Amino acid sequence: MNVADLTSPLIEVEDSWEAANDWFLKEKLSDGLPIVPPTAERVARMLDAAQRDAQEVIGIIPPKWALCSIEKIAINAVMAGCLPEYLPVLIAAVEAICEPRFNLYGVQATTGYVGPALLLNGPIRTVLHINCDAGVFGPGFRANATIGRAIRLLLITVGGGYPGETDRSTFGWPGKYTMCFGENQEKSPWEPYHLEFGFKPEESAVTVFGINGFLPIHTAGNRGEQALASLAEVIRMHHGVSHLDVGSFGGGTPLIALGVEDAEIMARDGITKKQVKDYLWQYASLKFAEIPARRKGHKSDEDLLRESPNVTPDSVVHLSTKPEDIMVVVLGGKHRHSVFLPMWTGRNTLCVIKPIV
Amino acid sequence: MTLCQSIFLELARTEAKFFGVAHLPLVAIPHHPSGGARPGEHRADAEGAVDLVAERLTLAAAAASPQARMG
Repeated sequence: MNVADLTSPLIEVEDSWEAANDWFLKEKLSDGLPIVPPTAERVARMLDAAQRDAQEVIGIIPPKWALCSIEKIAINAVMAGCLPEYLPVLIAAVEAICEPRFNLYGVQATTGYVGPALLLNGPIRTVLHINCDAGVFGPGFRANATIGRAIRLLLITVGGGYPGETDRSTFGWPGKYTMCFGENQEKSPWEPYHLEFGFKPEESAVTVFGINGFLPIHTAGNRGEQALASLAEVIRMHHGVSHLDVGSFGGGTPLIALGVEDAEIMARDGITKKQVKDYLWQYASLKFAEIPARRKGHKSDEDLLRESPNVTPDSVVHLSTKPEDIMVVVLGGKHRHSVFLPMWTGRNTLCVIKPIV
Repeated sequence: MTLCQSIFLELARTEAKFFGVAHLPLVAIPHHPSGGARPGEHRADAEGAVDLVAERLTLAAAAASPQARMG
């Protein structure tokens, strides 16, 4: 890629790292952490990795509703500290967050906590050294840290989603800085997540989730059924306090990150991934009658039921509309830890999977 | 003109600027549907908005009319 072919405006600042960072902070084009100045040479090197037309528009990012070209993605990838080989992942992820079912406008502007989380599957995980094992949601791995960060920077710099202004999140949450992880396919007893969606093992995919928080669950019991039951019990309690105020009971594509050891125990005792989903759908649920009136606001039961297609005639509120909408992935290291990652207010955002090419 | 809940007023202003209509008349509704409004407050919000909407639309129309500009 020739630097002369870049079309983004060239900003001239004093030739120092500090001056460049000051400019980005002053212009509110930063996540607050130091950025790598996206010089024309760095952006051109980044673009070389994609071998695609730099001006190709991948999506439109709200609330600015700005066109997001591959060049813009490359600029933010440089700022985040990405290596050039990460660029195809970012292009696929932008394509995914811009799908209408992800509802990026809502994700960007809501008072809730939500931010995009990226799940990677397939050979790309090993090629890019994506951490899928111990500490998978934590620090220490360049690919995980910078790919997630580049998406956040794009949402700010291209999309114009700035905290306290256009991003109305009451609290935000640390996952909005960066959230990218891979499935621990090598240690999972079940087929990889992306195969459920028609991908082949040799193909790579990114799935984006509008994640609204992080509920750690230390599972109990030495049998698979006990582990699953303890998981359902904790999720049920959370389910009961996260989705009830706005009349969107259940729905969405909630994500269950099963720790390797929990998955091993379940599989050892003959439990399949499908059975995990069926069980959670059945037992991580609430009866409509169990919802306290104070949580129903001013709405009548009739109104709430009308607004909540997921509430069945016998008035059970499930975690999702159907069992297969519960997304189960296996990741992390050893010991009895799993995580429930709820989606933003039930069905307001749905996960999207895209191939990485 | 656009109606929005007051939490989103800054978003609406900024978005209007992004769309090149920085002076888009806005009416803010005080209470969020899932906020802590007391009984009757949502109705009061709606009733209060009617006059504001009429006022903003009339002013916007007047400001845009040739007579207004001349006069």
